[in-house]
Amino acid sequence: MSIENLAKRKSESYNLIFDLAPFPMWIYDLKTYRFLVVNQEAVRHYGYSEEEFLKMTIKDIRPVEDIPLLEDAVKEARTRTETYMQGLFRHQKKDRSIMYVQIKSNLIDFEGKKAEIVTAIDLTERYKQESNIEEQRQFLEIIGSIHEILLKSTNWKKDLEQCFQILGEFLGVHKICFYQNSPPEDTYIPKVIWCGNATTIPDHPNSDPHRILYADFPHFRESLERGNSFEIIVSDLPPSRTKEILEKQNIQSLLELPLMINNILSGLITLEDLENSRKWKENEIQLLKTLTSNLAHVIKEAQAQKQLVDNEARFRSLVQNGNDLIAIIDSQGNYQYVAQTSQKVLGIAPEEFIGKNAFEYIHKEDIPRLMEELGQMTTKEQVSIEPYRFQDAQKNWRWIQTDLTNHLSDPVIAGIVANTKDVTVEVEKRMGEQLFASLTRAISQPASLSICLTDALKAITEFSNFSVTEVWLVSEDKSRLDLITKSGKHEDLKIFYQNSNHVHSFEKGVGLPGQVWQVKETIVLENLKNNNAFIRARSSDLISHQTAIGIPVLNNEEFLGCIVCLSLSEKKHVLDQVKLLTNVGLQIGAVLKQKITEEQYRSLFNISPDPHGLLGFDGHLKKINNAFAKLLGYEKTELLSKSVFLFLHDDDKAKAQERIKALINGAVPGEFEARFLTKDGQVKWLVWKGIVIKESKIIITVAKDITKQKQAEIELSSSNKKLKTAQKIAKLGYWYRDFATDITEWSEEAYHIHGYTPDNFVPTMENVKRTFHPEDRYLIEGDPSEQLEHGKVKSFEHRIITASNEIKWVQQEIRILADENQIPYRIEGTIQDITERKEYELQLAISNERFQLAIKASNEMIWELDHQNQTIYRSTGYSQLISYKSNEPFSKENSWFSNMSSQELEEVWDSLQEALQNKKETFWSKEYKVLTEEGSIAYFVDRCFILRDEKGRPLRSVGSVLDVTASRLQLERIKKQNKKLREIAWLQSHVIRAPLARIMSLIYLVKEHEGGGRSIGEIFDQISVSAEELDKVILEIINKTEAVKENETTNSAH
Amino acid sequence: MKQQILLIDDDPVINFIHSKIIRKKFPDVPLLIFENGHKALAHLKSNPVNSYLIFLDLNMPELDGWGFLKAMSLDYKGIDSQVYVVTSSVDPVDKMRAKRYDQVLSFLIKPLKADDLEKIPFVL
Repeated sequence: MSIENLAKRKSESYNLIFDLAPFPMWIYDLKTYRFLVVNQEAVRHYGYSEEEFLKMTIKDIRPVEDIPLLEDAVKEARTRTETYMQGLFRHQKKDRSIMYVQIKSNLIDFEGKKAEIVTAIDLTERYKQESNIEEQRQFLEIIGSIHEILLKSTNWKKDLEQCFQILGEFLGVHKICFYQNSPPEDTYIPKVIWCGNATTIPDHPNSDPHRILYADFPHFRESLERGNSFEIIVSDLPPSRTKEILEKQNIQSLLELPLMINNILSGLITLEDLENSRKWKENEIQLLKTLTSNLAHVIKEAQAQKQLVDNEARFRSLVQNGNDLIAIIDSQGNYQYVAQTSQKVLGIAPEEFIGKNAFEYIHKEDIPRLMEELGQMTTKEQVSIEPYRFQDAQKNWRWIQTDLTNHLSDPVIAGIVANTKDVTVEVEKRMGEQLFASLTRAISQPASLSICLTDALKAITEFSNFSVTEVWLVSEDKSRLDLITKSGKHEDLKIFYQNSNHVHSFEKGVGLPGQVWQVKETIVLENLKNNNAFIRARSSDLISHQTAIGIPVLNNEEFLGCIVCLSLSEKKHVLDQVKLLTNVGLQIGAVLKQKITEEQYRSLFNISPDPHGLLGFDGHLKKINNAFAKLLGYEKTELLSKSVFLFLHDDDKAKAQERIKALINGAVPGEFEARFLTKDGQVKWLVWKGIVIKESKIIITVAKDITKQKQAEIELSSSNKKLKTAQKIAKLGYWYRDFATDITEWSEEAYHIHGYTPDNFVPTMENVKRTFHPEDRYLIEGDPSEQLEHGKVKSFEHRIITASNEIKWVQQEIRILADENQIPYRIEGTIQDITERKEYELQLAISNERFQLAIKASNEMIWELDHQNQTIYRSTGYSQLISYKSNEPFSKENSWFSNMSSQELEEVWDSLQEALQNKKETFWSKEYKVLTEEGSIAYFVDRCFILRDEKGRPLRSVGSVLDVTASRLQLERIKKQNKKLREIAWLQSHVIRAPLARIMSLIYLVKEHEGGGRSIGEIFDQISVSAEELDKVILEIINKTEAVKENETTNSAH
Repeated sequence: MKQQILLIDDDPVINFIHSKIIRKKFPDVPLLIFENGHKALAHLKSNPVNSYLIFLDLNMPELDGWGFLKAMSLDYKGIDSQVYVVTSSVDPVDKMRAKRYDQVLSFLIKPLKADDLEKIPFVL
């Protein structure tokens, strides 16, 4: 092998070694930093391709922050003399991940350039392991120091602050805070705060920042309650108040850990980072959890310690300051030990008891009972003794109650332990209540006041063993106290009152009762025999009374009376009873007051002249007074327990029932009128008022008999109604005005006449004047007294203008009223609408006028007969023709009728009388002849209408007489002429036609029947006879016609 | 029941002529002549069951034609009769007056002619 070949081979194998070396290798230009060669492992490990490498410099595989390091290293390499160099560096892969590499390098000349060959050994894994171990060590160290601090803790708050400092510096946070939960409000109050140097404590160290946080994000709170911590990266929070607040405080991230004590969330530890959005590592959280659990333990311990200390203090206080007496006695009751409390409770030092027997202190009345109970201790372990009296240092009787426990066989104690409680207050209260109850019972029983009070005194006597007890009550007029009742031992009473029966009342300030009245306080008088304050001392001395007690009975501030008790005992022995009775005296005041009121009410109830009653809710009469029974005419027994509705008028029952219902349901009691029926069926009007007593389901009712008033009212209202109606019909209004006022009072009809209502018109003088017709206003202007005379009614007719602008005629009757001094004070009047009447009058005047004109214009004679006055009036129609009077009394012999023939007069008179007497006839007519002035006969048609009243009696007859003479004469003439003409006609048709017809028949006979068996000669004879007959008849007709002509001539001449 | 023709007239010449004319028309019916109403009524009274054809003059003494008609309408209503007034009067008042009587069938004016009888619905 040639050297060249050898060199070539050697070069190839070097290349191969370089390329296949298991470590990344490269050669770089020291001048340009450029990679000159890289091996495969470098490509694999760093992720760049060979081409990429060759375009890069070594700076490109270093993190930016390490480039200055690199530049220093290269600078050093350029100048160093030794070839080999090694060091630990950070490199960056193509994927930007960082690795820790050990670099070994040698300077070489490569292709004429100063270069360095580098191997990079990746130590990242190892490096990481090592740093983990270091970290772990640090954590353990921290945990150790926290443990140490907390274990030795005497003041956990201070120690916790120290822990926070260690942790804060270690973890690089800015603030750590412990919040303790204060349970009732469920708020978290900062207890321990640590802040890094750069951080300031917030403005409100006591505020609770969690309230808003939990309101915004309740799941955080839930998570804490479950014992889990949570972390917040502020920038990740959705927009919220919490976010705003945290941002304001520059907090970037937040960690909250719960402090659980006995599984209850008792506090929080929060850690704040003001710089980083920190992601908490597992071991950091673990470290903090260690802290919280340690802290929980410490706090728990501290709490338990505190409780223990408190309990101890309490117990000590109980024993030293309690009210229970503890003593140890032997089976005979001799004291062997007495606890310190005796001084406090009874005022007797414990040593005083030693060597004494318990029975020396016990009330003699209680001794037998207690002896017996103590005796039971030989067989029983425990005995409870009911309250008994025990004398204290002041010789007052105290009520105490004792539990005895047998420790006789206990060698340490060797006695009976007596646990005793002072129950004086309770016992006295109970006794007072009992006495009060029995007094209340006695007083409120349904009997008279004095019986009730006697019973009450018996209760007091029984209770206190007094010799004599009395009740004194203030009299109705408040002038004195009266002895109402007394009680006591029979013999004592007899003796005492025999000698003092003249004393039964006291004035204020006199005697014991009077003094009590004056001071309104209990007074106890002792040594009665020589006590001047006690007036009846002489009587008392007979019974050896020692003490007198006066106890006021008060209702609120009102003094009702007093109870006087006389005792055979000395004052000191009755003080307990005085105390008790004084209290009772205050309490029974209300009851007594009620009883007195009740008594007064009952008296009033029974003597009241008005009906009173008590009504059950069912409407039954529970109680009624005499007046009620008397009013309805029943016996009381007939009414009691009956429904009140039985006695009510049918029409008022429903209304009354409704009313009672309303009252029961709480309606305001108002007056109510109802009619009752008496036993004998009379109606009584009662006005009722009721008050409901809900508790007793009773309605108290009072009534007043208003029957008379009601009847008067009804009569008045009916006559008012009639008057109103009458005024309405008559269109009659009334008004008055006092001269002192401007306004006139108008009656309803007065308004009506004017077309106004009281709502739209005020009758002031000015307004009234305006209602007058302008032409009539002068009537109202000026002083009325000038036109009117006092007391005399003056009548005016004038026009008014109504509300609807119509003109009405009214008639006013006005007068002035004057007082006793003849000074006018009022003007009054009636106003009547006479428009219709006025119109009638107007119409009548017009028609009268027309009538008169018609009479004047008429040819006829018009007459008017006034039947009431029996006068007749006749117009002058025929006064030229016939003599008559135009006005005269009407009789058969009147001036008109006297011109008739006596026969005609009879007929006419009878006919007229007949028509007048027929009540239904309204028309009469008759034709008659009258002799004229000239002596000729005149024909008249007389006819009239008859006006009658409602009974058919003729009032007035109006008639007219027509001269029909001319037409009558004419008629007569025509009649005559007609008669003649009829005769001519008859002659023509019968008399002339008879011979003519015969002639015609004869001719017919000859012509048609050849003479019918007669000869021609015979027929000619008969024709000739008939012709002569015909001639004679014609002559007769001519004569008659002449007569008619003559007649006509005469008539026309006439 | 017999049928009879009655001629009531006070004029014997007229009666003669009328009976000639009537017999010619009703040759088989007996014909009776009365010179006034009374006599005719007397016949009717005694022979109420016959049925009659009556020719009645108005102007007659004793009881004239009006009196006869009035008596017939009052007292002889039930008699079966047909009355022909035969009068010389041409007074329309008479004609109207005659029409008031139900029995009067026609008002004939003298002289009676055969033609007048043709209109008579008297059936044998």
